[in-house]
Amino acid sequence: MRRFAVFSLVLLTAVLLQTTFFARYVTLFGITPDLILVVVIAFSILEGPTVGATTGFGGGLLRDLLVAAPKGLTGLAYLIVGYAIGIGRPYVQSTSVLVPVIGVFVGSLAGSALYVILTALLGEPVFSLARIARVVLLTAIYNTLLVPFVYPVVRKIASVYKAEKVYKW
Amino acid sequence: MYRRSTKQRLALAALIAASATVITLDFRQNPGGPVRRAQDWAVSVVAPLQDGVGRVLGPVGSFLGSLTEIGGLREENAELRRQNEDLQSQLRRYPETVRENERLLALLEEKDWSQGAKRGARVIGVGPSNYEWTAFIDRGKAQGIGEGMAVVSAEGLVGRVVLAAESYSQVLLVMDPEHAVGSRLSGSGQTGVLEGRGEEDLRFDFIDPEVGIEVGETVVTSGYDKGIYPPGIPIGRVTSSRRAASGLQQIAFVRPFVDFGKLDHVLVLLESGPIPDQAG
Repeated sequence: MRRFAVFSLVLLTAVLLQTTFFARYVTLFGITPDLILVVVIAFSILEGPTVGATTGFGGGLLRDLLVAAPKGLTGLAYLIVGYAIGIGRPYVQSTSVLVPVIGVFVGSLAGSALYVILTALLGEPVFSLARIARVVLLTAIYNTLLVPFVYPVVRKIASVYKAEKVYKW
Repeated sequence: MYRRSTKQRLALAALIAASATVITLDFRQNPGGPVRRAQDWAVSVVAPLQDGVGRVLGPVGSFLGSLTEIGGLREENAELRRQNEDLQSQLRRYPETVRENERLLALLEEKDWSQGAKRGARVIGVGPSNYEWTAFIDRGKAQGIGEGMAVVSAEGLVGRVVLAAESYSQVLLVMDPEHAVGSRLSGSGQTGVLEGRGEEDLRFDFIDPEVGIEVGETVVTSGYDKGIYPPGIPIGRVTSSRRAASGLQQIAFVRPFVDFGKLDHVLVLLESGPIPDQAG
């Protein structure tokens, strides 16, 4: 339960930093990184598909409640990314720093592309393909640049609040 | 090699079902529904925290913002000089315009939007996404703010309130593609609809193909959109125009006066908003 509370707190912090700092001041060519997605992907690399999907859903849903777009879409998109990255992680037999870097890049491409597809399916205003491609690619690049700052923090927190096999609930 | 456990699959299925439920509930939303209450709750919880975090990080953010601007300063300087010349020439015509405006407003028995009751508010955060543009302000229902009210800054139109929680509100910005506003070209008086296109210039549709559009011309609200925005609020300046593919109308592109990256203090026009008779 403590683990759940701490991970929730990490997501809430990510949402706060995203809305007060990143989306407001850290924009290049009008595009901002997506700190929440970076945190979700870090969790799923470190903790596997179940935690990845849960944090993806939770973080995505909180993000949903703060945007003027249909609710639940970010939750769905991020939970799928969190699960997929968590599933794929054990197949990569490497402890290289490139694992989170590539994981965040690929996951961010997939996450923001999935979100756009879902909003288009629900009949939201559609941007030109050129803009969507630009947003998806730039978001993935900016997110990757956040990895050196975000990943070690999440890893530290996840290692302090490890799942204890002894107390199985 | 790595077998999926039943527990993992169950968790995934449960979360997907939960997302589908939220999406459906929101899609069939009626005011006061559960998703709407969750939104109110999220804004009421997150906004005060934003307020606190923003106070700490705001100065850092402004500094970072100014660093990225250094490269563009020369260009900006030239642009400002050009603007200054423009403004000087406009200023010479100003007193005459004011007199004309007063006379016409009196004729129309129309109220000047800047005269009504207003409520000052501070921007404490912005929407987290690259596909929608909103801002959070530190005033809400308790301070008389209601959904649909127009929000302006010293520069011009900012947007309208889409969600009013107890002491915080969310504002849909004019650059959001969901945002459309009835507008008027100041030169020709042509009216049309101005739509947001994200970080690109706003798009002004339905202009008569015969009308001449000047680059630099000011665009203001027309007041024709079911009474949401009072007429005459400055929005932006025309940057370019072209004929639509059909040839039956012209399209102009408009750069907003408000610099949304630096938005800080705004005013909510308490006497604006949808006319009650039509809302019901």
